[in-house]
Amino acid sequence: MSAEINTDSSRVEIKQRVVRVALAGNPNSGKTSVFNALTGLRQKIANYPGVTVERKSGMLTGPDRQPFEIIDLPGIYSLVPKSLDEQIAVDILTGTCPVEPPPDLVVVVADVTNLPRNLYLCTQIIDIGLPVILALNMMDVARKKNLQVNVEGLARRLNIPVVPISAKQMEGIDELKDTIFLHGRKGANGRNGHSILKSVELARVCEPLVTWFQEHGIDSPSGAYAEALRVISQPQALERWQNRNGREELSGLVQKARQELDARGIPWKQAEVRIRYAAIDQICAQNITQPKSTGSELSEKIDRILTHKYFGPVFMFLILATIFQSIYTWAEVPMTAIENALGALGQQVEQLLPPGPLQDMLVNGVIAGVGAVLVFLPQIVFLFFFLAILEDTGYLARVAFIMDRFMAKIGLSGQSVIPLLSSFACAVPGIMATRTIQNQRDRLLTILVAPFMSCSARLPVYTLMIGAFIPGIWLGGIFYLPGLVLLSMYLLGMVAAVVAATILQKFVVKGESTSYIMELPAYRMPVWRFIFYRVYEAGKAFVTNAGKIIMAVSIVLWFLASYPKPDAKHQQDMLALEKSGQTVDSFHEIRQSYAGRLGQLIEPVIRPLGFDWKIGIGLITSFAAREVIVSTLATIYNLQDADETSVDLRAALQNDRYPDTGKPVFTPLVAISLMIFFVLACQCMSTLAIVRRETNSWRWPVFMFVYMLIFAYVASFTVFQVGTALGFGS
Amino acid sequence: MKTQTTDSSDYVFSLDDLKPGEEAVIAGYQDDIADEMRLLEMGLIIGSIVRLVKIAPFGDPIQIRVRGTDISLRRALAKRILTRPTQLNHDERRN
Repeated sequence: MSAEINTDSSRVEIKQRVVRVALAGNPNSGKTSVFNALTGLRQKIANYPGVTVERKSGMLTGPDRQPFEIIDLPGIYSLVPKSLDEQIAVDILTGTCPVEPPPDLVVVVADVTNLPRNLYLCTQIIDIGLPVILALNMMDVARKKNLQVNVEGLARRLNIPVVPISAKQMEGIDELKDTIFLHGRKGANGRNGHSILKSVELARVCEPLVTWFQEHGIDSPSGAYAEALRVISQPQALERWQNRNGREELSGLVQKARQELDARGIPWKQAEVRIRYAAIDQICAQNITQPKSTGSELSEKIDRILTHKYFGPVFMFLILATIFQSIYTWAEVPMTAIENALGALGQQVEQLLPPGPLQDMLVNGVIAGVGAVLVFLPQIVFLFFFLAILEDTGYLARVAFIMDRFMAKIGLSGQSVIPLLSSFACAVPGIMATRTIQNQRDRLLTILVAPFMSCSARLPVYTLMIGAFIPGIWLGGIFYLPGLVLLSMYLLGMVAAVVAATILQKFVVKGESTSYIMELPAYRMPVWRFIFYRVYEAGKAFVTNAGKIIMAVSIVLWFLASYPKPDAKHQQDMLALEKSGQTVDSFHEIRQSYAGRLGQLIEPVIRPLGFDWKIGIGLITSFAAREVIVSTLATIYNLQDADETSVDLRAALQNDRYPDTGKPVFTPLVAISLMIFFVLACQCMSTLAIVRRETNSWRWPVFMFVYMLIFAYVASFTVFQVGTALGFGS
Repeated sequence: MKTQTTDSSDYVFSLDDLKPGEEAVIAGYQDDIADEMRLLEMGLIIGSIVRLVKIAPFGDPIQIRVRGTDISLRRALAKRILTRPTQLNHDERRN
């Protein structure tokens, strides 16, 4: 982390130390809004090394150009972590994180309308001995509720600066910045904060433990006392000390303390919580005047409709249907525009450059690759726009509340609903939307099954195959067979997701089973500025991370399909053959490219699924994007500008025969086998690239590709072999 | 179910037994709750007043209010949270 460099050449460059300021707070305390208000767009989002947890940071420039790095820690309720992202936050604060030292200053963001629970964390952080500033957020809501807070009183009692703010209204942000600048530069001298745990009933019970912790690295008496209470109360807290020296001694002391508490009739699990909340309730009683509640709040009134027993699900369906409909229809316009613009650019390049490998690579490799990346942007932008609104208004939590019943059955929670629904449009934004899932196990599981949802890129494949091979007959006068087959493909994807989720959580994504304890935040108006940040962030993350991989793979695929070029002699031989009236292998050009050779190489493997080597080429090139198989087949069959509805392409497929047996290459059974393969296989480099980005490792995308391929192979194999045995093969 | 006994502290039922709109006082947890700590930290400590706000449209999970915060949790978990009646069911100051 280098300091900002002074560009003014007349001055002497002084490298200033970066002051590191961590934002900590409960989920839903408005911490991220405060982060946005402080740093604006000067944000850097990366992952902590080796884990899926995002590290968000931004720079602030203080007086004398002193640089301040603001780090947005994952939301936590206490210093005892229950999940991976909480673990990171706690490790950083307590100084046990191997990749990130403890901050110079902690800004605790607290929801002022829910102060007791927020103070629980704040007082714990004070006890660590780090310098703390308390930012009382949502003061605007408090005013509306007529809630009065004695800010000075709180500051005196806790002995820390307390700044009332409203990040949403940009209120008090300058004061908060000034307070950060003032206190951030004090370093360890800035230690402030009075522990609220002083002179309480349990001091004597904890004494041996306090002494032990002071001998083992916790200097401050209040910090040692807080840690003593924590290891008594919480087995997880004790585990954090288990791999250090003297742990047997520690376990013994903890056992003894627990026995003493039991003897006094105090449940040891509640030791810390009880003491802390008792003190906090006292502080709040002295410093907050809360008006008597005047009936039900606005949120409750809204919920009477939005989570109503009957209207709730109806409204949810209408809201989500509108959103996904608009993602499809609105995104269509810019997507077409992007495709047209890149098509025009390609033509320009074709005119400017002489034909040859360079022109070919620019047009069919680079520009096509740029297109493959950019074409996702409209959907990502639209989805994240709506997702940010749903989340910031508080409605997303209600969707989870309504849908949890069903998701619980497959071992997920209601929070997975939106990412899975989004994946019907495209798995890329769907997988990015899993960031709203708090539980890391649920998030990974959702990512791994999301690509089973039939995305819009599969539709051209279904359309082509159904149009060419499924007869348009009415079953019983009610069901139109092609429509029924299309529906089956969508249902198959969903069933596969359920099966995969069940298997994966047994063997792969074990971890704790879902504990669904979720806050239902009060409804709020969204702040457009923050929604814009979210959309911008999502788009940037996609283009800069996944975009590079997609681009590289596009060029490789172009190379495989174009090289080696047939040599001159080969061309002449073919021409001579044609002139002499003999039948010519019309596939000779593609057959001897690398892609063609690969297709022939894998033919023995895919033959049991009913696929020949030409379909094999399609399987390889469609890795760029599923619908590419359509244009690949069109190229193989020498058709210009054919798409999935093209009659020529359908006819070409219907008429293709195996040269040795004369049997048709494509039959309805082959078409179904191929569609099933496309439902189940992860034939999409963009999905794999985004999984790489979101999980921060190649392990999960590789695993995903392999396990989905196995699903696809087994399913297509079974359908084709059983179908053939039953006589549906012709 | 809601018969008021003379010594209310002896009368314990589970949070899941509440009807929408009813309030009770947290009395404790069954021994083997994995999420006990999380619930405690969110303010569901012994003596806190808890109100069942509503049951989700499809019957699970439930929405409760504790210390001014609305939390949703599944009924399976709520069954293991013990409550007793508030002493003054009607005059109780509502959160």
